[in-house]
Amino acid sequence: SVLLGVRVEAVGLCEVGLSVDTCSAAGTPDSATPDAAWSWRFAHWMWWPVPHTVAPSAISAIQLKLKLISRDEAPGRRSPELLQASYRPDLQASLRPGDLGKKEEEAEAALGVAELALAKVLASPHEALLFTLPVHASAHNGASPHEALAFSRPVALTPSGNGGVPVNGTDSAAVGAHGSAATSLPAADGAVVGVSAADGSSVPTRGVAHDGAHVGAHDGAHHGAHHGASPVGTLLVRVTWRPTLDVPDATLPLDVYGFQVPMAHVLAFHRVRVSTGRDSTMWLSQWNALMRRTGVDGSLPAEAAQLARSKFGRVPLQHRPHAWLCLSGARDLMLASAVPYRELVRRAEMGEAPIDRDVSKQIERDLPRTFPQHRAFASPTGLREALRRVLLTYASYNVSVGYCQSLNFIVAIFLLVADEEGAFWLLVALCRTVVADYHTRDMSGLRIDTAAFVTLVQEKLPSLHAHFVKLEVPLEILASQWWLCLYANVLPTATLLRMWDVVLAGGGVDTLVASSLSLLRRFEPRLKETEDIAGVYAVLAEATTAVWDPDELMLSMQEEPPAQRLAMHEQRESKRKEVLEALIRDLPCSEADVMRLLQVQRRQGFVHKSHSIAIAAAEAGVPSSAAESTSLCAMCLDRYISATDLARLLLLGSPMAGRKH
Amino acid sequence: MSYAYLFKYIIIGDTGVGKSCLLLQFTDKRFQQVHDLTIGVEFGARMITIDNKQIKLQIWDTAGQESFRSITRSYYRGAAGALLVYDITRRETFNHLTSWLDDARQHSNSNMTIMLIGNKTDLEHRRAVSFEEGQQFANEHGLIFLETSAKTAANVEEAFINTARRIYEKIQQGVFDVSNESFGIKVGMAAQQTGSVNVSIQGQQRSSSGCC
Repeated sequence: SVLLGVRVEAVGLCEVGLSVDTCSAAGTPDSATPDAAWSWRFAHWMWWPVPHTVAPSAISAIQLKLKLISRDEAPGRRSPELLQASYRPDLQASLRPGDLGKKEEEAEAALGVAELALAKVLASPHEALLFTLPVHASAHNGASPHEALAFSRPVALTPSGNGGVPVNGTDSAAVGAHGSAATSLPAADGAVVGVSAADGSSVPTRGVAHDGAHVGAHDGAHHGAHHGASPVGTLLVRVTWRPTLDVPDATLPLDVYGFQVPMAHVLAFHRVRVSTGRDSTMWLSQWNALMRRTGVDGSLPAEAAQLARSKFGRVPLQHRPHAWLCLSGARDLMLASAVPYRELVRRAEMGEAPIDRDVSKQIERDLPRTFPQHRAFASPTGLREALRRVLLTYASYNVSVGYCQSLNFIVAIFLLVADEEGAFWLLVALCRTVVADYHTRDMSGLRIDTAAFVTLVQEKLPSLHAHFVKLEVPLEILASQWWLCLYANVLPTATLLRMWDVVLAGGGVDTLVASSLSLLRRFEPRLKETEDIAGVYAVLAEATTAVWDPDELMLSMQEEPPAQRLAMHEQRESKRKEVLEALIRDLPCSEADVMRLLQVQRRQGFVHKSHSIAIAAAEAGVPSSAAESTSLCAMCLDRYISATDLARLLLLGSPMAGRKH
Repeated sequence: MSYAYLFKYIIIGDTGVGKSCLLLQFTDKRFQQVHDLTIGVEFGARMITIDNKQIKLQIWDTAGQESFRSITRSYYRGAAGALLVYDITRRETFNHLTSWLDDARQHSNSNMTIMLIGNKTDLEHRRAVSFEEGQQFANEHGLIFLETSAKTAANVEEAFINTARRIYEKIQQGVFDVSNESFGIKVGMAAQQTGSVNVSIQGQQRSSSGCC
């Protein structure tokens, strides 16, 4: 089957939204997928995988119906214009005026609909097709621009090799619904992409610059009812697809994200698929309803986090990328960032941003060791390039983390869910707020939490703890293995992603702790029968890969006493001092220096701006040579630097710091 | 399973030198071209026979990236043997040996037996560190030395078994107080048993946190 991803960015539009109304695969018996309907308002960021339960070869075209929606809740205040852009397998597009007034029973009045039937998409996996849908104000009803909008011009279509987004000129006069034309555009790769409209007159299309390639610009006469009206914005629609089931020699099924189901679990996999499939409509309608209430800035309603964290709040596949990006704060980080992802990538690739040579070599070495059994990562093609770019860019973006093994697994999962830019910002959000200081060089956050966890296990599962002590099971390391990757290489995909729903929706480390505790509790009888560490690891490896029902772990986690959370916090606080002291002992500078600096850090709270770093350093009496070092400030600017890492950075650069080594 | 002694081993060395592959070859007698990288620690166990005594090797395969050392090195202490591995095709892994050795010596008991291993001899054409250099490093630091290939299994048995033999000799010489488990040695139920004849080697289950 195929995962179809759709990402839509609205440029310059305000107070409108777009909904993907239907998505279906033509040419297959399974051509209607009414469950794949969703809608949202003004979203910068959309990308949805759509599952199809057919072989990709059987699909002749995929149709997407995009609906432009007004912010205005009252339907029927205007008669919105409907446009349909249909891409047929022969790569001809047509525009048809239409009317959605008939659908006024809908809560939102659609302003325009574009139907995209994608055939060429299927020719090459992991390649994106890009559509731009300029939108302009419908002048005829005298409404304000945001109240009456329509797709103003036919679509420029360009195949693209990676996750880029073009900048499209929006200054040209638009051709409205009634203007239509047939124009052939030489696409970047030499394929001819046809754009045609119903009445045969020519349509002006502007060149779309994308990754250096230009789709030919054809300036023609301007036609149509909206001649002279300025487009108020552009919708950039990016469509990609990923195969999930077309491994020719696959004797074992793959799950929807492309991971092979182990032989021993095939039955469980099918059983769970049937049972979760049965109630999937319920999940979807629940989330669809929520998505319809997306705020004007594209943010999700407050209940979304609550829903995601509830027992039965499983985020449907379709909504997962957007939900994760919003709930984790990744989308806010992306929008707030002064430097867009593409620019960060460019800087990292051009060597303008500092990347340790060892780090880039290490990333290179780990690429083939990241889910080698997954089709998308098994070969240098597929998602491996994206994985490399995200890891490299992150290494230059957050110097206090650089690259830590286990981030590769996390990013790989993010890439299967969201697109490249989304994966990057998800990683930034995760390392900044969820598992802060887990992947830094000293792993201080991780060590505090695992130390606290051990005490918690001792308290809650005393006999298991005693057994582990007897066998010398390194519980801290076990928890580290689980938590560094957030179980990415431990749990079956569906269960893993369900857990990440909760983690990213604010559940954070507590979710990791609760799930670890509940896993240990569940397998306690078997674990107590083991005779050595290898036995313990074997039981856990087998047991964790068998948690196929995504709700099962959630339910058992909820059974953990509510006091658990508090206990963990108390433990963490008591361990914090211990771990920090141990860290300071390892630091290549005097304790007094670090303590002084840490005190200032604590007073100042979260420090991630160069000026506050300089102030902190000055107050701590760190020699100004280090604090003023512009390169250091540049490195710290706009990045999260943990207190200990900052101390280390400053003191390493400080000639006056008394070094131990 | 009864054993005369249990020896705890650690495998250390830079990331990507083949630590997990050596362990897999030793416990399962197979080589995996591609596998997930190790996060934290993985474990393997196998019985060997020395001097007609069943000896169980319990092996801790550690993650090689430097940051992981902060969480793994506290477990060096209870190890009787260490395999310090470098990759003969990558010079830097050899250059880092001193730092690994310092770390191991600092965090372990002074009687830990250390075997230096130059791995990947199957890639002779890409060799960047000569056998003599490895031998010299081992001599200077009092280590046993072998070159291995986890892929062809060359010298893999020897690497693990020779280390065990050296530890066993030290026990015979009374170097260790075997009742003190902090040396990484445990006396099993079968310690006094004369044991069976043949070198019967049973691969045991090897844990892995492999993905779905």
